[in-house]
Parts: sequence; C-alpha cells; structure tokens
Amino acid sequence: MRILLIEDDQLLALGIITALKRMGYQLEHCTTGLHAKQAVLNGEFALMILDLGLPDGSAVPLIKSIRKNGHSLPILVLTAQDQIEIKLAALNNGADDYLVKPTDVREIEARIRVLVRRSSERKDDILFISSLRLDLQTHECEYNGQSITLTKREFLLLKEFMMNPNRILSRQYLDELSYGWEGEIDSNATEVHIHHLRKKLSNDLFRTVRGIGYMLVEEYDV
Amino acid sequence: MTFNSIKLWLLVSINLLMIIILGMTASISYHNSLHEMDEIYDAQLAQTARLLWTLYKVNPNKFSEDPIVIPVPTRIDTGEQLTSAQERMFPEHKYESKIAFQIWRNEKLILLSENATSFLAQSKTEGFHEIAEKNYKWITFSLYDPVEDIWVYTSQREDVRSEMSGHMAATQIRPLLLLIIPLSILIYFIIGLSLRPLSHLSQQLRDKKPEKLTEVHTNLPSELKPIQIAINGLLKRITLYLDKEKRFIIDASHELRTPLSILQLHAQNLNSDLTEQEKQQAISAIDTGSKRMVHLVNQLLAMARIEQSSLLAPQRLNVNDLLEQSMSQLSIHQLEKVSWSTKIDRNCEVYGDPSLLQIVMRNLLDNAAKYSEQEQVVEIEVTNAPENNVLITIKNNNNIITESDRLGERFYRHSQHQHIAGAGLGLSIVMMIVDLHQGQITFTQQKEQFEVKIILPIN
Repeated sequence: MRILLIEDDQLLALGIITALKRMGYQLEHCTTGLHAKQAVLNGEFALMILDLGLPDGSAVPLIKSIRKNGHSLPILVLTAQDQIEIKLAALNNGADDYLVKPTDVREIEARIRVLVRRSSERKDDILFISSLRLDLQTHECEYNGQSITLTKREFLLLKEFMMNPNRILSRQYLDELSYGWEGEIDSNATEVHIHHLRKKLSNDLFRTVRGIGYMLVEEYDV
Repeated sequence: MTFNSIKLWLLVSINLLMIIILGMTASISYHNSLHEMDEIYDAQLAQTARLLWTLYKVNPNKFSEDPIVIPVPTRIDTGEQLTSAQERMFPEHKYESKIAFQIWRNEKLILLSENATSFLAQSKTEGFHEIAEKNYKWITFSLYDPVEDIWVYTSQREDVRSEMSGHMAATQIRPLLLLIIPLSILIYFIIGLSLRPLSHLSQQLRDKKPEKLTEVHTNLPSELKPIQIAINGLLKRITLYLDKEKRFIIDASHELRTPLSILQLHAQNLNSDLTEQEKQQAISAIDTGSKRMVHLVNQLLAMARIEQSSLLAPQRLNVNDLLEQSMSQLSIHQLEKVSWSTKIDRNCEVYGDPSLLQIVMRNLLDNAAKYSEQEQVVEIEVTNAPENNVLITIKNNNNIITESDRLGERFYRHSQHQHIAGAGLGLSIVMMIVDLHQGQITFTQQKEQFEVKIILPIN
C-alpha cells in the first residue's frame, strides 16, 4: 500500500517514513503542496498524510482541489495546529481525519488502517479471498487453515492483490509499491517476490498477464 | 471637600446657590422696604409735627403750665394673627402706643401723649434723630418755632418699621422657599434621568466578555460621546493586543510541537529493530530536534524577559567593543563561512544595556552569516549620525527577496528559508531591544543585497 506523505520538516518526515515503512507501508514524500498535487495526479495512492502548514501556503486549498478533481483517496491531516477553526476548515473541505502533533506513530498507523478500511468498505482489517486470509493489523496470513510466514515485501504485495482481486496490477505499479520513487530498481525484484508468494500459497492464485502485469484470481481451477 | 457623586454634588450646590440667592433677595427686599417705610413714616412724623404746631397756633392760650396729657389706649398684643378687617373691629389700634408726641414751650412741656412722659432729654436740633427709650429705639422729628420758643416732637418706635419690612421680605421669599423642596426633588430625578445613559454604558461594559470585546453602541448625550469614543478605541486596542497574543501562543505551540514530534517519532523508532543506518539517522534527528527546542525555548525566554524589563543597566558603550564581543559569541562555523568587512568609527558610543545590545548585534551578525552564501562578504559600518545618534549598518548578500514588512513578525520565516535553522524570533527580539533603547531599525532589500540599519541614541 502506497502512502503519500506531505511534510515540509525533513526530520519529521524521516521519522514518519522510517516508522511506517517498518510497519509495511510504502511512503512517497514531498514537501510542498505543488508537488503533492502532481503526485496525486500521476500516482496511485491508498492514502495521503498531509501537514497543513506548507512552504507554499496552507494545505486546505490543496484538499479542496483534490476533492474537486474527483479524487476520493483518504486524507489524514497531521499537523501541529490544533485550533478548532483550522480543524473545521480541513475537515469541511474534504479531509477524512485530523491528528495533532506530536502523536504516537502507532496511532498514525491505526488511523491509516481505519481510513483505508473505510474507503474499501470493509468492516474489519481482515481480508478474505476464498481460503486465503490476511490480517492487516497483525500481518498474519493463513492459507487453507495453515499459518503462512511472509516477509515485509511479500506482505505488501499480497495485501495489494487482495485489496484488488480480479484486477490486473501493472509491473510498474507493483515495482513502485515495493521500492518507491527513489528505491533501487531491480528489474526482477517483483517477479521474485511473486514467485515466493506462489510457492508459499498456490501457483494458480496469481495469474501472469504477459506484457502487462499480474492478477489475483478469486475462483481458480484446482 | 470633594463629592464623588455627581448627583449629590449637583443637589448640594444647587440648593446652596438657591439659599444664597434667596438670602440675598430677602436682604435686598428687607432693606428696600425698610427704606420705603422710612420715607413714608418720616414724612408722616414731619406732617404730624406740623399739624400739632398748627393746632397749637390756632389757640396758644389754651395751654398752661400744666401739660395736657393725651391718653393712649392700650391693647395687649395677644400675638393672635388678625386680618386688617378684624383689626378694624376694635375702637383703638394696638400700634397707637408706638407713636408718641410732645410740645414744649419755653422749656416747659405743654402737651404730650401718655406714652411720652419719660421722653425728657429731647434733642434741641431740628429734623430727624434717634433716641433710645425703654429698650426701644425711637425715630423722632423735631420742629422749632423760634418766635414763641416752641418745640414740637413726634416719635415712632423703630421696630414697627423693621417688623413690617421683615414681613414684606418674608412674604416675598416664602413662596420661593417653599419651591426649594419640590425643585430639589425634580432636580434629583432629572439628574437621575440624564445619567441613565451612563448606567446603560456601564451595564454594557460590565457584560463584555474578554473574548468578545465589540464596540459599545449606546445613545449617549454629546457630553459623553468622547468617553464612548475613547472606550471603543481602548477596546479595539485590547482586541488587537489579545489577537496578537493569541496568535503568538498558537505560533509558539506550533513551533514547539514540531521538534517535540520529531523527538517522539525518532525515539519510538529507536525502540524497534532498525538498520544501523536508520539508527544513526534517528539519533542525529533527536539531537537536531532537541537543539531546535533548546534554541526556541531560549529565544522565548529572552523575549519574555525583554518584554517585561525596562533598561536594566544602561551605560555608555563603545560600539566597536560591543561588535567585537558579539562577534566572539558567534560559532566558528558562522565566523568562517563569510568574510567580514568592517568600516567602524572607533569613537562611536551608545547609551544602553550591554547584554541586550550584545543580543542585537549577535542576532544580526548571525543572520547575516546564516543567510549568506559561502564565502560572501558581510559589511559592517558604524558612523555618527545627526542628532546625537549612531548609525550601524549591516549588509549581506541574499538572493531571496524577503517581504520586508513581515520581517520581525514573531515566528515569520520566509518559505524558502525553512531549510535554514531558526525559529523566526531573532529579528523580533532585535526590534524589541532597539525599541527599548528608543532607537530605530529598518530593513531594505536591494537586488541581491539585504541591509539592516540601526540608529541608536548616544545619550
């Protein structure tokens, strides 16, 4: 799951990125509203963490314009400003949640899960595809009643497939997902992870669509 | 004696004034009527004397050595108030005993009224005079006939006149006197009525909440309008001040929360399994974050101290020494980053607090180095300025055009300067201190040159 972080303080951004990466999220970071707008237009993100006081002004107009352009990605505002007027302005213009700094990173992660869960219309953090079960909160995976151990990257990929079943996910998208914009590009990395997933789960679960990408199939022939 | 109540003050002073006016009226009227009374009665005395003399002349032989005594009917004055008509019911008048007469011939009394028996030592000059007899003052008129050596005296008790004048004066002021009480009550109510807008105003002011100090709008009489205007002006200034303070607290909490957030996040991260590189990053972030907090807290404390202090220890200071001391407080990194060019008049002196002025110089020199590119020149110039002032100019290269009207605003930092460490309080502190010294500070940005000018008084 890719998350867009907009935070002008480099040290703060570094802390959030380190913490959330460890929890299995892939973060893209930008420092200005302008970059954020471009990133939202070009990339696919499951959620956006937004600081309100940006070098190029307040982020409230940014929220407004994102919503106006029809993007429904959940927006979590994370800011040091706690005046009710500013909170209301952010929430009324389309933000989904509001957190005041300083805050525990576990709370940030929990809110991210809640927002993503809500946007994908689920009741809890457990994804089911036929006999495959993935708990997003504990990272536990079960297949046919058997507990499966996944690496961080494998978890990230499986989560993405399970959240988008029966949909082709492009190679490029999956690459970006696990390595980010600046990550080292190993042309085979995604392929290798999917190979591992197939081995741990079932070969038929993942279908290769040549030249495009991969797809998780819900009903498959045994 | 001072009266704190307008009501009481007006009541007392108006009543006092009325009593004085009434007293004066009474006195004038008393004296006027007394004078009129004198005229009438004096004329009557003279006329009566001439009448008596004429009567005597008709038949002088009727009078012998044995004086004729005319009895005077007396009626005891019961003190009862009678009308003139009632008075006229009696065959005599009670005032008859207050009128007396005598006729002397050759030093012998030949005719007198009963009540004039004791009037022996009459004056031997013609005209009016006063005599004292039986505790009363009498006004006497004497008429002399030198041919027959006849003296005619007519007298009247003086108290009749003053009593009547008193009566007349009293009659005149009595209605006015009666008017005082209703007038006072009326004045009391009128004052109350005209002071009502004032109590309305005070009610409005009492109801004001500190968080909502809107202007007072009430229909005040024109005399109270200046107070309303002054109050509204004050309310506006207080609101502005409170807004400024509120914004300051919001800004300060924002500025404190960001480094706190950094500390918390990285400390939490250290608690989990990180790579060696991530660990180093977290440690250095905590270090930087805590330094930022220390700097911010120090700046805030300095501001609080300056805000509540007047000049603590003002003294004559050599500007060159001041600059040298401030320069030595800069970090080696800042000192070596740029090259310093100085043009200092070594005799320039200012009058001020050494520790505060050092903060000014240090902050400005630190800013000049901080916002300059590596190896650029920072120019410092100190000269005497007109009107017993010293002009200190600090110039540095800066290619970011700053909005000079926002410089010095607390926590203001240019968006393109966010990467340079600082809390945005340095210039605010400088401005506060210069203000405290009754100096002036101006910022100008010309092309790529940023210039700070400070004018400080020598005395």
